[in-house]
Amino acid sequence: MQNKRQMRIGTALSLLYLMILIAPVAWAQKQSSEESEFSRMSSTSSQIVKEQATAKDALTRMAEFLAKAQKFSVNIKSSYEVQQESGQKIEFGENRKVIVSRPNGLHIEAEHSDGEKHLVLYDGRHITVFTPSENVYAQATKIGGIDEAVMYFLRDLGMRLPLALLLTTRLPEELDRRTQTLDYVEETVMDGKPVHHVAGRTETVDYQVWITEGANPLPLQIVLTYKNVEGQPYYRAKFSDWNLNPKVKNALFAFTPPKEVRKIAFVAQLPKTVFEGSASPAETGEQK
Amino acid sequence: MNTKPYLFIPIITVAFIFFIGTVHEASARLGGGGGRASASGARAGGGGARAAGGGFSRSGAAASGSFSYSSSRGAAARSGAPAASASRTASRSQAAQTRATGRAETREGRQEGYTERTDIRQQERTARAGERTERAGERTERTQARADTRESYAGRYYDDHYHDHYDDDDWDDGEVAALAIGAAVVGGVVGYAAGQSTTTPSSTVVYSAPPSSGYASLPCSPYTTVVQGVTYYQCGSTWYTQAYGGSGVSYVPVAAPY
Repeated sequence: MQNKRQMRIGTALSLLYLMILIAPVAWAQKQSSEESEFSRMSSTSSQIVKEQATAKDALTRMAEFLAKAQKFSVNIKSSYEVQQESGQKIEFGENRKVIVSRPNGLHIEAEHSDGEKHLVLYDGRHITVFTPSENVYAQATKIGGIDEAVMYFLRDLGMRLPLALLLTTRLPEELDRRTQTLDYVEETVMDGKPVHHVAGRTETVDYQVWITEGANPLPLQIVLTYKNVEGQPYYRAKFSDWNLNPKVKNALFAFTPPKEVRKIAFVAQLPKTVFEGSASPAETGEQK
Repeated sequence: MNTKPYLFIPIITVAFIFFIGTVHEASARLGGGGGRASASGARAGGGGARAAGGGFSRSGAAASGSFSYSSSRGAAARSGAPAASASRTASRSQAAQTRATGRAETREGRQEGYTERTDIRQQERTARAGERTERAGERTERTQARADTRESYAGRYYDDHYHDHYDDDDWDDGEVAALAIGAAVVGGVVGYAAGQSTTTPSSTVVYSAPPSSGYASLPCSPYTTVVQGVTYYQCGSTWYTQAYGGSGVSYVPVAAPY
């Protein structure tokens, strides 16, 4: 009887002891979990801010470096997708050799994957496009430097010049203006060089740039995704043979039409009178 | 056996507390990793394309290589999409959805069989899936945090963007108009004057909405004539000349030269 009573008292005391022990542990556990959650979120947030700052710094350095370069040459191997009417996506490619000599010299040789070649030249006065296989060229006058000429070529003449933004000194402002978000993806290696991989989003295009680390922050690869277009096609460009001091001669930028080459117009130059049927070729006729 | 429960229970308690402490530390370690952006995700499929030149269009949004793309600019010509495009897209989506459902079901069936055969491995996977879920939670957290940190950046962008919207925005996408492969019937007669900038840029007449880039080839073996240095090609009652557009050299319908 005495033993039973002692056992009951012992059990009761043990339970009390257990409760006293557990209560503060449970409270501490809850507090610690809340604190851990808070500090984890805070640490994640500050890390993201840091990464975004790194991404912005890398992109800005690249943009300013290219914009301030007086001369450069680079080879660009690119590919892009075209969604056909059937829904099938086809990839095409092209190689470009680009030579920039600021303020007035631009020389671009392009070879498409079907073998067709184009030449785009700017010498400070004329911007010219030449297609040897067709024996034709078109030329427009534009004074003001590469920036003006390139913008005129694309915006007003409606011509195609992939990655034209990289040719202009407006690159830093243009990227900054268009970019809605910018993130640092990772530090990686491309062509044996350590690079920053950053990803930005504009209203209409998601872009990724791989930028060389160090004193010459040059792009080694750019991928553009046209997210609002059916099929979300991409454009990918691989840069190689960057040269920041290429040997250039003025003759490289001026166009001297070979014999038998005809001058034709830009489609965008068709005057309004075209649609009224009142223009005559004599007014603005093309020349050889 | 002389058992002493009042000694046994405190021992269990101490063991329990030790266990809780260990679990807490482990979870803190698991949760503490900062992590970088996910390296996984959808990858572009690589198959399907065959050799170019079989009548495939080379023109499209991605051909522009621009950092912005105005879909409204010459959208009809650019995509070359006929009116049936929407319904075709819908049916493609539906088909894709059906295929996806089918694949999901197949995967589920395979998974069941697999689970039966390899219970232990499945359990391991479940444990790993739990960890992944936790990490996914972290990623969501990071995404949210990113969105928060972006607010000021995005706010500034929209301010600037609003002011510049009608200025030079999207100037680098050019006019990547699709060329019609082969010939097409050209309705109506339009005139032509080769836009020749002879002196200064201001003398060049340029319009913000250029006409169609024309056609990659002519619909016939044309009658060719040169009038004042301009080469014209005649097919039936329609005249053409060559001109440069976003897709290269094309044949543009023009007014009769005489």
